[in-house]
Amino acid sequence: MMEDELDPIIYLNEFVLGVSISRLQEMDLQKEYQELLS
Amino acid sequence: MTNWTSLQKELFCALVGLARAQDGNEWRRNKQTDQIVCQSLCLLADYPIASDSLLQNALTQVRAEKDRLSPGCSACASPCGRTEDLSWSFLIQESETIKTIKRNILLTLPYVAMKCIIEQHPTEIIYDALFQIGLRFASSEKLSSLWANLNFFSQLQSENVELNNQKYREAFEREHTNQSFTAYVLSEIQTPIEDYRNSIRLILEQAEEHPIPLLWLCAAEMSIYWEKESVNPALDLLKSNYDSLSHAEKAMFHYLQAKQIDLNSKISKTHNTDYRNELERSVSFQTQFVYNRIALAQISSTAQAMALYQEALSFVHHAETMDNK
Repeated sequence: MMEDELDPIIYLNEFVLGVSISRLQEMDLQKEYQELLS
Repeated sequence: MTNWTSLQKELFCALVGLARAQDGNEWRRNKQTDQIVCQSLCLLADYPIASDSLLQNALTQVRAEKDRLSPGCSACASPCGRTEDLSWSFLIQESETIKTIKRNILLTLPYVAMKCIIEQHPTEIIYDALFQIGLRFASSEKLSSLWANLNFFSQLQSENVELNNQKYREAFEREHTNQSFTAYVLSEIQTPIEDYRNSIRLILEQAEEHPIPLLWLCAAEMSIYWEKESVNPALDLLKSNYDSLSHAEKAMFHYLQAKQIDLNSKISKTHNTDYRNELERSVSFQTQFVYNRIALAQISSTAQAMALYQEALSFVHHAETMDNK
């Protein structure tokens, strides 16, 4: 676990790219998208 | 009470049912039971987020194990409720004090389970915690004492992070490789150390000996998020090495440039041309990138924003699908 966390890609995926985010964060984005649609 | 999905809640409730089923049947409990319980609890941790298929698979295993421990219960014509799964609504109806302690226990359990797996620690405390969470009239004293024991585990976890940080620092001092440097500087930002300032300082100081653009990008982001200063030397470093960056790195650089511009500017994002230009350049690299599209969507017309959101959401995936956890 420790070794995986010490990879800059893990940090960037979460905090810069946003491709690896929690379900809750994803739900927030989905909600914003739905608001645009309505 | 938690941010868990309904499947995660269902799995947790089934684990309480399993803990109830083993109570009085301890002789039937074995390594397989411990493994199922600990591995299922690990799926409830904040990170990495478990996929629904993993959760469903764990739920099936937990239910099968419960049937093995109390074989008569599932087929019983007049169930007594002793081995029933927990009802999530029961937790929500508890008094505020009990609810708070139970919530703390519940959120710590996945990490205690990880520790039990890694260090092959006895699992008794886990069964006790699951059982106590399911009790209707659990005493706050007993729950607080349980919480204190679980906290003890958490402290050990923190000590491990600090010991590992020391280990990585010593490894880097012994041998100055890019790998040992990366491990050391990133161990500086792990909880509970979180020394972002030192991590940024080291990355900048060692930029010549360890020219690692991915670390410069980390430092640039940390600087924007934590330092909030008008200067960002990591961005300057990326700028002077721009031609050697990959497309993905260039996309990240322009996105971070946009964030830095916004940090330094008094103009609203919508009217800031430099901010928009940097985001557009970032998106133009066509890499899998969520936040640059969301940021651009927020300053775009509705039609463009919808397309950007749609594309951004298609790039979201969860941790376990990225590194096969």
